[in-house]
Amino acid sequence: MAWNLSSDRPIYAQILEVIQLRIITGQYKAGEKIPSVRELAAEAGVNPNTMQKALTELERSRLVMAQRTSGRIVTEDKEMIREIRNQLAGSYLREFVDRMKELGFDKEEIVLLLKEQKGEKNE
Amino acid sequence: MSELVEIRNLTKVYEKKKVALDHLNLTIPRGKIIGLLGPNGSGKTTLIKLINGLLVANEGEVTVDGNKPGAETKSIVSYLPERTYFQNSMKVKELIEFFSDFYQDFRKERARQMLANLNISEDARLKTLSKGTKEKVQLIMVMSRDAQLYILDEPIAGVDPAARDYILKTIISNYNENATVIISTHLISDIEKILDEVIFIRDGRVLLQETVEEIRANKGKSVDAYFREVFAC
Amino acid sequence: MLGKLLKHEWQTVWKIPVLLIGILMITAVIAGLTFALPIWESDWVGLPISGILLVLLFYFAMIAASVGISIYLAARCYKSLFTDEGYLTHTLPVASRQILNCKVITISAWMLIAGVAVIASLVLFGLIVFLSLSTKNSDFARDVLKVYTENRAIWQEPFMRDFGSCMVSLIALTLVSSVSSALIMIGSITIGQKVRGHRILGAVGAYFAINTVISIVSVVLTIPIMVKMVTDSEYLSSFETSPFSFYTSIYWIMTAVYLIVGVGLYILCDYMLRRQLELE
Repeated sequence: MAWNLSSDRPIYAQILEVIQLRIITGQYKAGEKIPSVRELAAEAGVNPNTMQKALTELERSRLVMAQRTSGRIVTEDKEMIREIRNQLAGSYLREFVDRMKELGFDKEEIVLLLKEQKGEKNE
Repeated sequence: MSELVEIRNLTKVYEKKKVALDHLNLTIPRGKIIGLLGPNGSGKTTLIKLINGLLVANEGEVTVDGNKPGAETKSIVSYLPERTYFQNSMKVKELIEFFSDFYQDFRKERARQMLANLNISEDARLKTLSKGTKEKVQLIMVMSRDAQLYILDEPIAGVDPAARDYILKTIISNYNENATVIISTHLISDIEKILDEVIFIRDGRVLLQETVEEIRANKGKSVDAYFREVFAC
Repeated sequence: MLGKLLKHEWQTVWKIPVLLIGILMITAVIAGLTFALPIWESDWVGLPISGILLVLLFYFAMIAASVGISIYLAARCYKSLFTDEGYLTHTLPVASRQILNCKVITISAWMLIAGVAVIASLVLFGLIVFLSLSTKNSDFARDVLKVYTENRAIWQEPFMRDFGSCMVSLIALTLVSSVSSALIMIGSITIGQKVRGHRILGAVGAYFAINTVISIVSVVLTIPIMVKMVTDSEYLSSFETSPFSFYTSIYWIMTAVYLIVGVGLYILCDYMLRRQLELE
């Protein structure tokens, strides 16, 4: 998953999201080590202090844990990862529904469209 | 620990009464990557030369790590000017020896590694290299020092986009909490993601000094867009 | 740090002067060897003319070596201090005075070497001419020896009075003027680069101005002695017996002039590099 960071909004929030996604999709597996601040910053092309800030926030939320000498590891708590996945899904859905409402669809129409989409997908 | 660079009341007037710096006040903290941004003629280059002791001010003072610009400050400041400053007849490896000799903080192996990464031969004579390659060599020499202050004047302007990425990654990887990097450039959108702070300069005065995330959060736009707004002609 | 500056300076700067001196020596040998060939007695006028041309070549090589080395050193000094290279020179972790000292030492040394080289090439030329003529004409060496022994009597008292102190003053003059001419070169360049837009012209102008001042001052200071020569008949007769004390005075006066000019220019350059640097 590429970083695709936009300079129009605070980078810190975008970095948080990308790392969360990488954990949710298993790019960074539960219990495994993630790259160092400097490696991540270089990969993302961002300031190390900004990356540090994002990682510190992830530590605070316990999604990631700092080990004494060997960097940071993803939490073993699969429940927490699932929870975050659901939260993200929830916000994507809310966004989706809001935009559909902007187009003028109501709830039933939205569900119908979704079923059609799913139907098309199955073929 | 005091601030890394303290500038008080700095004034520089050239002949014919041209005021380059106008009672400028500025402090540069440690451990940050800072963008020095401003239109041509704003005083950026004059400020940089004064910090490096290449010019003498008419009024005010500059101190780097508590010292006036001189032999001590030059040993902790690594400067990349906009122009190529080495003798063309030298070979790359002679340049490495030169830097090794004069700068205690020069890391030979780091320089060698970076040259190898960019496929630049140590046996090459500098005059046989293209302009872009010469700039890369100069940048490698500057970044291979373990300095406390790096001042890079247009480090990526004359370089192809792939090498730009490499250079930016090098600056990031080189980073340490005790060193500060000041980058003066016009290519704001290319570098703004690696900056901690920006300083906007106009007509020899500091217009603002803010963290980039604050600008993005408060103004809702990139530093590049904000710059265009502030300095619109 | 000065040691390192000197090391790198010499590594850069030695090639051209050594080349010029090498060429000088070669032309000295070639010119001297023309006397070994029977070209001077030949019927065809072309050969003696070639011989003259070769000797002239040696003469021009002498000028080329001394002037060439000076110009080369001046150009390098200007380049490394006041052009793009100056960005490297002036950001080295050394005091600006050390940079100045490095330049003074290097240029003085090469001026001295160049001077010695020119004299050495003349000696070499003379030696080869002597050897060439001796081999061609077996009587030649004997004739020279006869002339030498006949005139040897001159080379003692009272003629040789004050010869030692004259030599001392001459050596002092040579050393001081080498350092001084280095400082005149560096000083002219430093003053010249303050003239916006016409740096080289400014340097040349400063160079001529400084040398003019030296000439005028030297003449003025030697007037008393010249006057004494004309008015004091005792002094004049002692000069006719042994000229060395007269020359000794002249040399010491010149040495003093060069010394003062040198010290003055050093102080000026030190100040300008430290407090008046304006790299473009």
